[in-house]
Amino acid sequence: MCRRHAVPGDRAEAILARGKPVCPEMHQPFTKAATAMNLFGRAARWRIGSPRYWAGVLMLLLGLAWAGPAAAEWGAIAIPRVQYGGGGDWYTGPTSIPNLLKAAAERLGLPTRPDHFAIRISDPELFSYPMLYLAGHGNVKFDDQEVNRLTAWLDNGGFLWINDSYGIDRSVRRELRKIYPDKELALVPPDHPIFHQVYDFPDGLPKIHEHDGKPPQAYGIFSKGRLVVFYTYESDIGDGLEDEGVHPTDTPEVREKAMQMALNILVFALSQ
Amino acid sequence: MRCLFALLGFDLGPIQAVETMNLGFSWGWAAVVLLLALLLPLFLWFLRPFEGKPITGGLAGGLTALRIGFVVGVVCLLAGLRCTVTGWVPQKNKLAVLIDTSRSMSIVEEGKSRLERVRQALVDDALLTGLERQTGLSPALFSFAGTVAPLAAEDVASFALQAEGTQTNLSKAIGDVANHLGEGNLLGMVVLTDGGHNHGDNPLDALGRLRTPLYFLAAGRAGQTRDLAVTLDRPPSLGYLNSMTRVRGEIRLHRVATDTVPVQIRRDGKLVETIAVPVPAGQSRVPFAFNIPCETEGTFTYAVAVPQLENELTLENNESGFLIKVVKERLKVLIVANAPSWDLAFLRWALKSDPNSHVDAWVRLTDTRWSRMENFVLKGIRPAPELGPDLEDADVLVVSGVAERVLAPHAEAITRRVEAGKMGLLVLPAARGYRPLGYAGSPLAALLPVDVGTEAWRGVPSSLALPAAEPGYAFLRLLDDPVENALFFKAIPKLDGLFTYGPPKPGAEVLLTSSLDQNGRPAPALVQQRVGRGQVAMLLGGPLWPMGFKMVPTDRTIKPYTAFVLNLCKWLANRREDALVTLETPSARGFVGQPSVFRVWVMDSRRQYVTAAQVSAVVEAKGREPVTLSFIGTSEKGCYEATFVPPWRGLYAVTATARAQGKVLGEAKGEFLVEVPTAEFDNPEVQVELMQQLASATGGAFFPVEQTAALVRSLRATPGQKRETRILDFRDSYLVLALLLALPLAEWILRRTKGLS
Repeated sequence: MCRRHAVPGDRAEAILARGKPVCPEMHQPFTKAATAMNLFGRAARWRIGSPRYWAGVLMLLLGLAWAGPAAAEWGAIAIPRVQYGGGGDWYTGPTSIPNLLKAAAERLGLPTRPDHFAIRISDPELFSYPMLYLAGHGNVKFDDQEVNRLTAWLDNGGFLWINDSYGIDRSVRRELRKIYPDKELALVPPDHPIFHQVYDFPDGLPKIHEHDGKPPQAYGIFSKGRLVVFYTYESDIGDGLEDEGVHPTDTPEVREKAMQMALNILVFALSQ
Repeated sequence: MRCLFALLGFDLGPIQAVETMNLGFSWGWAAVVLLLALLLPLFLWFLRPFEGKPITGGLAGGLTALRIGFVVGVVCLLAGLRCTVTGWVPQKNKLAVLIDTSRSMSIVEEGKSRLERVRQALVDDALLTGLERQTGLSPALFSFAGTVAPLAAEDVASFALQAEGTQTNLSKAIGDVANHLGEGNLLGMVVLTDGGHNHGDNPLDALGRLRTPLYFLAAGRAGQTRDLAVTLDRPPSLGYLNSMTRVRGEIRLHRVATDTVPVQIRRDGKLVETIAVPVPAGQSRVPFAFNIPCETEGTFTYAVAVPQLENELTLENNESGFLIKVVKERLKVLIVANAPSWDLAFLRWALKSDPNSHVDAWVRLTDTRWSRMENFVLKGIRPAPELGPDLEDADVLVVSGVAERVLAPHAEAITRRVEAGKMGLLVLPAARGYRPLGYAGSPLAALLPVDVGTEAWRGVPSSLALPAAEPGYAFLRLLDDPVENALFFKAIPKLDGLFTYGPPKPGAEVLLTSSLDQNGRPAPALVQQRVGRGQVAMLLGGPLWPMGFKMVPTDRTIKPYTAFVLNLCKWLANRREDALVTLETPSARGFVGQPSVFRVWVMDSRRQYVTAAQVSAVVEAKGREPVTLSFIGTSEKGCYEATFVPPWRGLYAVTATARAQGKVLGEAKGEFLVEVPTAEFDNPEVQVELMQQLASATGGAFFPVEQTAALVRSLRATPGQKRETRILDFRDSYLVLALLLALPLAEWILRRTKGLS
């Protein structure tokens, strides 16, 4: 688990509201901007009428002609994390989902929006996102209104992935019972398609991060023949999705395994 | 005198009797004198001294006279000789009487029908005689309903008129008579009607500027009627086994005070359900809806009836019926997609809500991994899609951004099945469009309703909108109320963007538009095209899933989206009998007197469309003479059309037979329910206000039909004559020209015969 990037809840909220990364590692936009400025500076030294200027104009025209009509960018997949009450660190692992969505775009060609952002269940925008990610270490709590909204969200096509970063098991089970009083979290067997979508996991959920020495377990809640909640317990897939170096103990092989399983989860959510 | 002028090539127009004629010149007399003074000596000088030859005095005088005559003629023409004719023109010498024979004239008030009151005015009260006496004119007689027809005096004397017209078009009837008789000639038009205009242009707009006075004799009693009616709004013609079909209608109350109306629903004459429709206070139109269960395959006649009241205006609108064909449900959808997406996830989710639907899917994950779904269950991963067996069994193929090379091996099978009407095709937008995927110019592109080669992406968020006309497809009718339905589409979450194309292919139809502007018109968002007997629909923008998911927390819920997806797929499935000859009846019902188009599709034993077949159909209502229809080929291959105008109400049996080279190819049977249109009874009151306004605007008068004498007296304008002047220019007369040319010719002949040069 990543303590290095954990920030207090109110500060993280403020940062998220400004749309800036909460993790120091997420400074890529600034680097890109600096590079762009540098290029612009060089370009400014090109004198108008010089051979380099005309070559540039020609290349620009050729580039425009080659590009043709603007490419469609629509239906981008975004996965917000759930900003729950109860005091738990809902903001943990800020690079997990952006990294997952980047990999989905690179490996599967899916249109994605790899942003790190959070929404509350009571947020009016909840129904703009058919998939949510919930992670953390502490207590998770939904009030009555949130329970009703989440139930409607799940029953009408939503998919919730809960990643036990460590220590949320008890509160998650308690809150899920409030959402589905008549349903229990059921073990998802290794032959379930979620473990074989893009990558094969014949033994089921992989172990990414050691917590209490227990085996990794995948639970699910099925409603109307659909997996609506997928709960990864004692595995911490989210941990393995974070940027390289955040968890020095995670080897590249372990991180790849986490990414593969996360891609399976995403594709399953889109496919079921 | 008119003949003389006609001989000279002049038309006196409407002038019947010439009173005076005056000759004159355009240039005036002074110009004539000056011209003569100039030209006459010149011509005479040339004439003299007759070449020194001895000629008689008579010849010299004759030649001189000819020369003078010619010069005078030329001078007259140069000066613009003209004749001013003054004469008498007859005016307002025609009178028309129009009799309304629409069905609303059969409404009985105080024991007498409206048409009976008209008969009384015409025959008993001798209206025509009175008019003739007052004006001295014999009126021209016409009957009208939707169109106008001339009547003979004997028709009116015997009064064999029947109130059978299914619609009333006052504007057209009066306009046609005015054109036919000449508006200026008409002293007036006497119209015997109840004023129940229900078709065509608004009479106040169309007739407001008429120069002919309209005299209305209102047949009927205002404020005397009461009526309870039921109408159905586009009743369904097709139902699916083991599902419910929604039927919408409206109850119309006219002077009926009640808080509920029991509506009986009968199937094949047997009562199946009675629903109580609450009537809010003060409402005269109450919409209602109910579901009919489709439990058995077959064709069923449904009737929806409201109670018959005592002394009701008419009982013809107390029942409305429709024919529904229940077919076996087997909605098998095959999805082939380039990548998983929320659109596909929610499309499957919507289809899953119907227990009768079956969804198979091939979704590309990577180039060598395709996920395979069988009936909503993920069945594993395959290195490549195996579409062959699935395609042969699918009712609807959903293509979502998959490369053309994936479908190319199956293009012939897809085309064949779509053309045969065995499979519908739904094309969802591709992430980067279909042109880069190789569709332009491919065999599959021929199935699409747009030209893929003209594809362009416009990433501007846009709302959906229904086209201006009310949607004719059930899947576009998501809410019962048409206005709310149109508003609902506008309120649907916006699409991220749209692919725009050139104009849709000929025959393609835009089902949904967007708020995006394309060449001054809304860019299409959903386009459909008929291919053979099958349907192809193409969604041009996305994503569509927010239309369902984002509506969950609203009072609309996800249900409209689910209904849209399910009904669209069912429509695309387009099930037909596996026959060589297929009969297509136009809708759930037709109406008496209104044309309905029947279509027949003909294939030969090799299942190829036959373009040179002779197709006929026998249409027969129980206990009536059968009618034979001859079909003609349409622009669609293998399709033949005939128009049938049902003469009677009832259930018609239709048997279509196709022949080619004298050999019978096959036969198709169907049924067609014909109802009586109830538009004539929608507004049963006598439209006093409309008639008064029209009379006032045209300078006429309005009276109840019982006051024929008052109407006759009110005919203020009297026929007569007016003086009119017409100027006839002799330069326009060919005869004058001929005479003028004859003078030098005569001189020449005279000279030659007398030895002069």
